[in-house]
Amino acid sequence: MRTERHVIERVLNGDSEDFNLLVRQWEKPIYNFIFRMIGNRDEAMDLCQDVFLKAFRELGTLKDRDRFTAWLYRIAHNTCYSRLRKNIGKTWVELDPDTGAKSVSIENRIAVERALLQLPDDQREVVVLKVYQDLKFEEIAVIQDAPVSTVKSRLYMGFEKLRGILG
Amino acid sequence: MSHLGERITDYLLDEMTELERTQADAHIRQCPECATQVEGFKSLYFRLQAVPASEPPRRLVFETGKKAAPTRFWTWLSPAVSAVAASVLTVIFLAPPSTPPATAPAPQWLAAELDKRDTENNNEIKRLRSEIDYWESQQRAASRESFVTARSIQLLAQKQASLREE
Repeated sequence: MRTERHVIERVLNGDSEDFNLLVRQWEKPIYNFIFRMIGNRDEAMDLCQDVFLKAFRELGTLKDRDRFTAWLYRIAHNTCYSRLRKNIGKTWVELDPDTGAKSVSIENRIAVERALLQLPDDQREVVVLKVYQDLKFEEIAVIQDAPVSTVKSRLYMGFEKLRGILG
Repeated sequence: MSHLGERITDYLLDEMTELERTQADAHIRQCPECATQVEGFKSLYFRLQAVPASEPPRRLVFETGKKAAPTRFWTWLSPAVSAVAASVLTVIFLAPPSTPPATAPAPQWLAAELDKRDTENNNEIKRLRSEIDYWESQQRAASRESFVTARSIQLLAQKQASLREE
């Protein structure tokens, strides 16, 4: 089993196709992160592509190979915020019912996805990264370029607002 | 101890030290306000977590130019297209190579070229095998999800019908 660090080394040494291993591993989490941030599936897919393209181009700048996760999410963060800035003034986007519903009720899925989109961007991002991506507070702090204490406050405020919205 | 306040998320996500947790537990036992808030946050957390991740609608595949041109490009392939492409490529690369006439020995450059192509083909075969594994797992997941979705629709319809009757 090849480690992430090993794969990165191989890609940097010219074995570009091995980048697909990283894509395979991270495509779904990054897609879901972007989707939960912007609320539009098609756009999330396009932005996900941009994230990996940028990651491939800038892989050489990743100094600490063991911090690939936070580095990749940082690129996704910048990509999302760049897209969100272009849409200031718009309220949340109408979500189409997803095809990935499992035993969870469809109503809950839609309610949660809509509620998330009503949070301020920085709070929504912390909630998504903590609840769904299970990142450490320190990693989220790197991604948001903010102190850990701020990240924790954002999570708390995000949870409080979600409780108010979801009841 | 004062109210948990923002530390409630540390408590919920198990990010407290043992001592902090013991103190928090003791506080929650005697503070109905914090106890209610903890329960509310817990229930919210489980509700959020109950929403599963979605499968990306398309797959991202990174390709490098196989020939001399060093062009690299990215493509999004729909599952159907990539499955077809994979099968076509599999056929191409898995087909037995045509045997060269066993007369004169192959020139050195040709041998080197063939070795290079063999390596490329082997890499491609490896990649396509992993593609096949991936799509088979996707197919299994899709079948499971179709079943669950159909069941959800059925339950909703039953619920609607019973509401109408009432």
